[in-house]
Amino acid sequence: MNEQVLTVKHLSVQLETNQGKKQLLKDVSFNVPRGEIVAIIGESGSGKSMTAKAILDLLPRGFTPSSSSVYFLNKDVSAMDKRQKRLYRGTQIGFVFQDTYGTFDPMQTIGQHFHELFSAHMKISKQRAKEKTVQLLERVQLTEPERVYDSFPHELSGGMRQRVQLALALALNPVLLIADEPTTALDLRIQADILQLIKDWCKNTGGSVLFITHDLGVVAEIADSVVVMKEGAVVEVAPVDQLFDQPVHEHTKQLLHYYKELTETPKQTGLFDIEPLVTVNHAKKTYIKKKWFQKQMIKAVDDVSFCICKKEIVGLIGESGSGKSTLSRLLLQLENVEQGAIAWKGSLPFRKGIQWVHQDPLASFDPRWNVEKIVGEGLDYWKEKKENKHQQVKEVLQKVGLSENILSYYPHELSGGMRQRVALARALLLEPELLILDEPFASLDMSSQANILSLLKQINQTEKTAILFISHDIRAALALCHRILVMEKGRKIEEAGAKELSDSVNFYTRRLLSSMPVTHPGRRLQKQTTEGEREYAHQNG
Amino acid sequence: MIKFIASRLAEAVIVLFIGSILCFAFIRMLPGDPATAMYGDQLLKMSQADQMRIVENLGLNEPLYTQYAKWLINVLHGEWGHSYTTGEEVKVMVTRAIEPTVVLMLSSTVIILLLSLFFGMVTGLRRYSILDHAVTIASFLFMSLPSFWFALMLMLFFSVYLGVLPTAGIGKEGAGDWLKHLIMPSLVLALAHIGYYIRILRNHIAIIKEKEFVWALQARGVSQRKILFKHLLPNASIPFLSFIGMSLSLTLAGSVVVETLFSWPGLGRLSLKSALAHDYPVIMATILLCMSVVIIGSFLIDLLCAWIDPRLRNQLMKEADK
Repeated sequence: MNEQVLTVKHLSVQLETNQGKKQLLKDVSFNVPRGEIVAIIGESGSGKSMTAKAILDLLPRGFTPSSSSVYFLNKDVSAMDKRQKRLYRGTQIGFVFQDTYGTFDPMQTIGQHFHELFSAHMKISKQRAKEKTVQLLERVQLTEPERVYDSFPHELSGGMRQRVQLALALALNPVLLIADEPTTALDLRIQADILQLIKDWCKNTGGSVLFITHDLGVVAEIADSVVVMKEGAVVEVAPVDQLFDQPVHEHTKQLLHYYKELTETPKQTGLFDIEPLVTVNHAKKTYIKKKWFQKQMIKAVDDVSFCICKKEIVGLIGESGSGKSTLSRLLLQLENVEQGAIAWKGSLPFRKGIQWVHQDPLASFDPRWNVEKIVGEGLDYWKEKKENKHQQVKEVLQKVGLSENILSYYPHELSGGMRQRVALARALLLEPELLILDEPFASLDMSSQANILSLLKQINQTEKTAILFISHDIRAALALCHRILVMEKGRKIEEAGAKELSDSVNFYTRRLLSSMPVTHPGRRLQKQTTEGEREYAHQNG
Repeated sequence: MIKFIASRLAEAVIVLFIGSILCFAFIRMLPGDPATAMYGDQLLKMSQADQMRIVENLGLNEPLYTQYAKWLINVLHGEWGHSYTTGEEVKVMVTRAIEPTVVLMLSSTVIILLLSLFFGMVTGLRRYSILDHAVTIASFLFMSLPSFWFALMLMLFFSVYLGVLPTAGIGKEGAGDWLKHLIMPSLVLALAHIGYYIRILRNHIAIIKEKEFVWALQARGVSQRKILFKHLLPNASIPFLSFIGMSLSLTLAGSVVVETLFSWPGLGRLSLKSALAHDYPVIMATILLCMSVVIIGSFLIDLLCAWIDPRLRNQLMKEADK
């Protein structure tokens, strides 16, 4: 029964550079049995994706894998000839990747992608290919498959593109599906859907899945067994229950610890300091989108009122397109409200008292500036505090847990977590009363997320800074915030303390909550009860 | 679509109108005047009255705006005036010159396309190979060598030493003769700019080669050849094509030198001759014609790009919609 679909034996990968050889993967070994879901977990740079590319024998030039290390159905992949390799990659293995846009040729329709895949491996008429494609698109629960068939990649949303990618991967009924962080860039709800689709496929066809992720929540949700990787080597292989209950390796324990921090059940309740810092009264903002013949009004923010009190962490939760970012732009006065008012009651002037940390820190840095210049820029426009700028920058870097060595670094030399810290330091330098964080975790792996999370808590306590935390990740918000606002389609639909929110009766909030991955594989069964609820919610839009 | 074409046409008319005003004014600011150019020293020997009469005949005594208005009204009636030097109708002179120039530009564009598509693709796929270095050196060489020198060297070699190709004029004795006359001028015109084209295509092929979707296609088992021609090339060709559109004016400017050197009876030579002779009506006609060639050319390239790239198509539609 337990036949091995994929066997990786002592796989190493070397990169030849000008400075000599660099060992990227060291002696990686694991198996993927038939019908099972195996997860590879590790932080960014641990060699997860490299392993996937090595399995497909598609490493970029300059990367040399050790030979005879990958066996597919007991056949040595490196010994295959060109034609066999094409068949192996195309028909035996399907893959889904994180970047939903980059993996499509921007100039071809979705239909053309499918047709090309079919015609590369079989003789098929255009009509037949279309029929098959529409069926496949239906199977991944895309509404209007005909329209998707004729669409270009840029006309679809990220979640839709990921479904299409999944359909492409499953089109030729592969034996093995490789999924490399397929849900990292997506909403939790879409993530839940995609995970369910993969699980269903696995159950119905008996195919195997190799699932690469940095998120233990996803692992708990989907995997049968887990491979933990660190710095290019496998440190632990275990069945999923055993991994969560009795981790062996230090690194696994560390990961579990971070994960616990991220999924901590909220203890705080909101509103302990009732002195408001900023109040928003019936704010409204509409965008007008011009189409061919009609104007479309999009109510980005519709009659939203709330306040943020001093020293409080407020979460703003909603799916993409719910108006979170527009609301933050209104707060920052980057745009003006159409109706209603935003009143500032802090002791500093309006804009000076608010600092913003951007979703993508790298995009908010001038690539030709070093860290000292980036962080210190705020002081340049503030005449009173210009003296000993260097000293102040050093202090604020210390606050966010960075050493002063990085003062002379440029943005591209920093890791994702460091970039987020630098962005935080830049905001904190001016000692704001309110920090606005727009999806601060979107581009980080789990350990960096946990670290930034505890850093934010600490800053909130020591600096008495109020924080507005904007995210689609309800899990992180529950762990961090005192009070949480839930938005849907521009409206505020619920406001509650973090603790109360987990018992919310609001339908939409329940849906968001149910899309959170389980915290432990043992809870999967419990969750099945809410499955029907979600299904129902889907149909009712 | 019709809206898009209409809006581009309206733009073209405005550009031509403003261009004609600028040309009209600047030409008359040039030192010297047509009368001197026509009669040379003899003009000085004439009586004051005779000189005035010549200027008056040419209509140059009136204020500039009246001159321009008259010229514009005539042109709108399809009347481009007569050459000051030969007295021939400008319309006839210019129509005669269009065909050779268009032939020259088309043939050099074909050479550019063939050579740069091939070399750009090969060097883009194999960057830093021996061929890549050789092509890079060659293209920099051609870009930096002045084309008149290069033209003279070609003449020296093929016409004087080997005696296989004619040095000047346009071939009138059958297709073979016509082709023989065409080879050297179009080659010189093409090679002067070909380096840019090769490098643009090379760089974009190299960028797109690294894109994730190419990787994804390989992993789906699509053959290399299909990836190259169906995915890499269309994606890389957009910047390449729009550069061709932009560099049309470069090619036209280059054709002035080439046509003069090879005595090619085209627009370039005509505009140079008329400029030296202060032949106002002819200068205006040739300049406006060159402007239209550039405008029409880049419009066609835009259409071509939109046809290839769906994103561009949508964008153009939206712009026209505003």
